[in-house]
Amino acid sequence: MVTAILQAEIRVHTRFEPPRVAVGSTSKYIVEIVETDNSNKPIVEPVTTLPIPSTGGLNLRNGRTSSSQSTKIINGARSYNSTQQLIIDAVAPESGSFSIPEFIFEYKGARLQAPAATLEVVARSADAAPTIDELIFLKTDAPDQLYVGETTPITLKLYVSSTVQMRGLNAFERTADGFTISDLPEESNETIEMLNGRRYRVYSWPLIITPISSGQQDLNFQFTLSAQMPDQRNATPSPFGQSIFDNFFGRTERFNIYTEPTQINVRRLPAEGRPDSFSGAIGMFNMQVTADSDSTRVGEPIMLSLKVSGQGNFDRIKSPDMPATSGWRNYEPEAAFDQDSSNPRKGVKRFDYVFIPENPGALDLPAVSFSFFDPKIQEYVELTSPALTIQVAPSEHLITPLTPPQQATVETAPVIQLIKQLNPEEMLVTLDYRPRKGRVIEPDLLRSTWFYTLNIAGILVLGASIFWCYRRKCDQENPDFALIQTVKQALKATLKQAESNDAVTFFHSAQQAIRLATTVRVKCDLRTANFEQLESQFQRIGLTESIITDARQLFDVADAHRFSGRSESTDLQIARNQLTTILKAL
Amino acid sequence: MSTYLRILLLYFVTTIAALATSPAFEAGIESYQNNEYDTAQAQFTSAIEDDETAAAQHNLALTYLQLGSPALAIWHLERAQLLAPLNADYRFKLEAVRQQIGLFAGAPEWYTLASQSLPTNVWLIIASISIWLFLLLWMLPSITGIKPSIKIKSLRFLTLIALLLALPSAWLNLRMIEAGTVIANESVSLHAAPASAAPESGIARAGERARIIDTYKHFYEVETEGLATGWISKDVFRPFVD
Repeated sequence: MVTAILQAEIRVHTRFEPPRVAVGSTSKYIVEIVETDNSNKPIVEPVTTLPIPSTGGLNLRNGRTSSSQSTKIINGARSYNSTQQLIIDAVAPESGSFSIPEFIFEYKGARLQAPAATLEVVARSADAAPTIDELIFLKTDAPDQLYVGETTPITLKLYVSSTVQMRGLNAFERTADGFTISDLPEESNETIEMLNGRRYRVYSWPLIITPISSGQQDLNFQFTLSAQMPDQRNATPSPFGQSIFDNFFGRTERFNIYTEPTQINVRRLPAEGRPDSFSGAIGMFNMQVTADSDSTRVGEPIMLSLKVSGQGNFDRIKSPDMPATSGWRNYEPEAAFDQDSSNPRKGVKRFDYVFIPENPGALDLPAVSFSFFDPKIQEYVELTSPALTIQVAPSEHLITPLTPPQQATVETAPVIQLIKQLNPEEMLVTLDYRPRKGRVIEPDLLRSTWFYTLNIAGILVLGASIFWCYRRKCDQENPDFALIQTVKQALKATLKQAESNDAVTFFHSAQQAIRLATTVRVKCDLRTANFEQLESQFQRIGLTESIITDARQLFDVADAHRFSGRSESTDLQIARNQLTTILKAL
Repeated sequence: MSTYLRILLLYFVTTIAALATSPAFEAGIESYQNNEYDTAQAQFTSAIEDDETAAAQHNLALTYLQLGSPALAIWHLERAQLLAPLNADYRFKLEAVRQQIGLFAGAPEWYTLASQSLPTNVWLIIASISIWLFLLLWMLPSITGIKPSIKIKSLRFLTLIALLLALPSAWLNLRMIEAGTVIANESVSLHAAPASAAPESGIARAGERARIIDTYKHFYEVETEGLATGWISKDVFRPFVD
C-alpha cells in the first residue's frame, strides 16, 4: 500500500487499523504523511480536510491528527523524519469488504496521492464479547425539528455497562454551530437502566439548546473518558460470580464516545400572521397587567407592571413597546426574571413601566399587547390587556394661579385656558431667579472647641450649683447656723421697729437690736442678756471704750424710759446716732 | 445708644448684601436663557465660589441637566436642599431627576424634614443646654431635700422633651451631612479595598446617595442606598460637605 512518491522526500500511506474487524467494531482509517530530509528538520503543515471521494459504505467520524518527528544517524549521515497521521474512526454496518478509493490532496503546494485501503468486516460470532460501542455509548433526546429561537431542553445520557469501571470524564466537546447550548452541569444524575439484556449505569446531563440558524443543523456531542474494560479472558461469567481480582486484570483506556450523528431540521418562523408586537417569544405564555395604584397626582409616577408567565424562551422576550399616550410620559421599563428552580424554561418575567401623568383627570394608560409563537399549534398568539383608567389629581407642587371667578365661564363665551399647570419637564428648566441667602452649612460642631467649651461650662455650673446647695444644706442642719439665721431675721425686724419716733418703742428696739447684733457677732445666744453680760462680750471682742460707754448710756436711757413709763418724745436723734455707731462697730 | 445704632447698621448692611445679586449669577441666568449652557455652567460655578446660595446651586444643577450630566445635577440639587431644606420646589426637582435616571424618588420622611427645620449646630446646642439643665433640675432638689415645685417639674419635662427632640434630630442631620452622591453618569464599581485593583464588592448607581464610612487617600468607603458597601474613588463620588 505504499504509494508512489510525488516528491522524493514525501511519502503517503493509507491503512485500516486493524484491517479486519467484526461487525459493530471500530477500525481506524489512517492516512500517514511521512517527510524525510537529510539537511533540515521538516516542518509539519497541518492537514485539516481530506477530499475522500467515497466512504465505500463505512461510517466515518471523529477525524483527528497526530504527528511525530525522529532523527536517524547512520554512518555519520543524518536523516530527519516527520510523520503526520490523519486518523478517522470507521464503522461498518454489515460484514463484507469495504474500500476507500485512492484520492489526491494538496500538501505544501504539492499534489499527493493517497492510495486505496480496504477493511475486511466479518460477522460476529454468537459468543463474541461485546464491542466497546455496546459497552459505552452516548445518546440525546433532541427533537427532529425546531424553530429558530425555540428554546428546548434535551438530556445527554452516557450509558456505561456495569461490567465497565469508569475512571473519569476527561473532556466534553460538541459540534453544534447552529445552536446555542447551555454549559454542561458539573454534576450528573446517575440511574440504572436495562437495555438489550445488559445493565447500564446512566449518567444524565440536562442541556438547553436554542437554534440560531435555519436548515439542517448538526448536533453532536463527544466525551473523552477513561474506563477499565472487562478482561476478555473473563468474558465468560464465572459460576462463582465476579471476583475482586477481576479489576486488577482489566485494562484502563481512554475512549472517545460520540452521539449518533444527529441533524435537526430548523425552520424559520412563518412571516404570515406575525403580529407587530411579536419580539421573538416562542412557547406558551400568559400575561397579567397591573398598576400599583388607581389614582395619583400630576407629576407623581405610578408603575404599570406586565407579568409574562409560562414556558419558553424567556431570554428572547423583550419589553413590549408602549405607544405614546396623551397625558402620560413614560420611561424604559426595568425587567426582572424569576426562573423556576426545577425548569429553567419556566418562570415569570416582569416589566415595570414608570408613567408620569402630565394632566389631571381620568387618564387611560395605554393598552399592552404581547405576542408569541406557539410551536404546538404553529401559530402566533397575541395577548392584549385593556387600558387601565387612572384618576389623576392636580399636583401639590405645581404653581397654580388663582382660580378665576365662577361667572367667567359663561356658556357662550369662548373657552380660554386660564389655568396653566407646569409639567415636571417645564419645572426642570425653570431657574430660581432670587438668590436668597440660605442656611450656612457649618462644619461639624462636634469637632469644634466651642462645643466642648459649652459643655465644660455646663459641667462647671452643675458642679458649682451642687456644691453650693450641699453647703447650704449642711449649714441648715447646724443649730448655730440656724440661730444666726433666726437672729438676723429678727434684727432686721427690730431695726424696722427702731425707726419709730415713739421713745419707748425706739429704746426697746435699740436694746434688742444691740443684743441681736452681738449674738450674730459672737455666735452665742444673747437675746435676753443684760448689759453686764453684753459688756463682757464687748470687751472680749475688742470694742473701744467709747462704744461701750455709748452702749451703756443707751441702755440706761432705755431703762429709764421703760421703768418710768414716760413715752413723750425726747431728742431721739442723738440716740439713733449712738445706735448706728454701736451696730456698725458690731 | 451707639451700640444699638451699630447693630441696626449691621442689620441693614447684611440685608442689602443678601438682596444684592452676584453679577456672575445674573450672567449665568442670561446664558441659560440663551441656551448657552457651557457658559451658564461656568458663571453659576463662579457665583457659587463668590457667594454660595441655594439658588445658584439649584440653577447650576438645572444647567448640568441640560448638559446631559444628571448625576452632577443631583449633587447640586442635594447641596441646594442642604442650604434651603424647606424649599419644596427644590425637593420636587431632586426627586424628578432621580427618577429620570432610574433611582427611587427618595422623598424625605416627615422626621427628616422636621430635623432639618433647624441647623445641626442649633440642635447640638439645644441638646447640650437641655442635658445640663435637666441634670441640674433633677439633682439639686434631691441634694437640698426640697420637694420640687410644679415649676421645677414642668421645667424638667420641657428640658427632657427638648433633649429627646434634639438628639435624634442632630443625629439625622449629621448623617445627612456625612453623605454624598455618585457624580459619574454611569454606574461605578465599589471595591473591597481602597484600590482600583481590589476585587469588586458592589455597584453604585449614577446619582446614588451614599453614606461615608471612612476615607483613605483617594478613596471613600461608602454605604449606598442599595446597601452596597465598598471603596469608591474620589473622582466619581463627591461628599455634600467637604
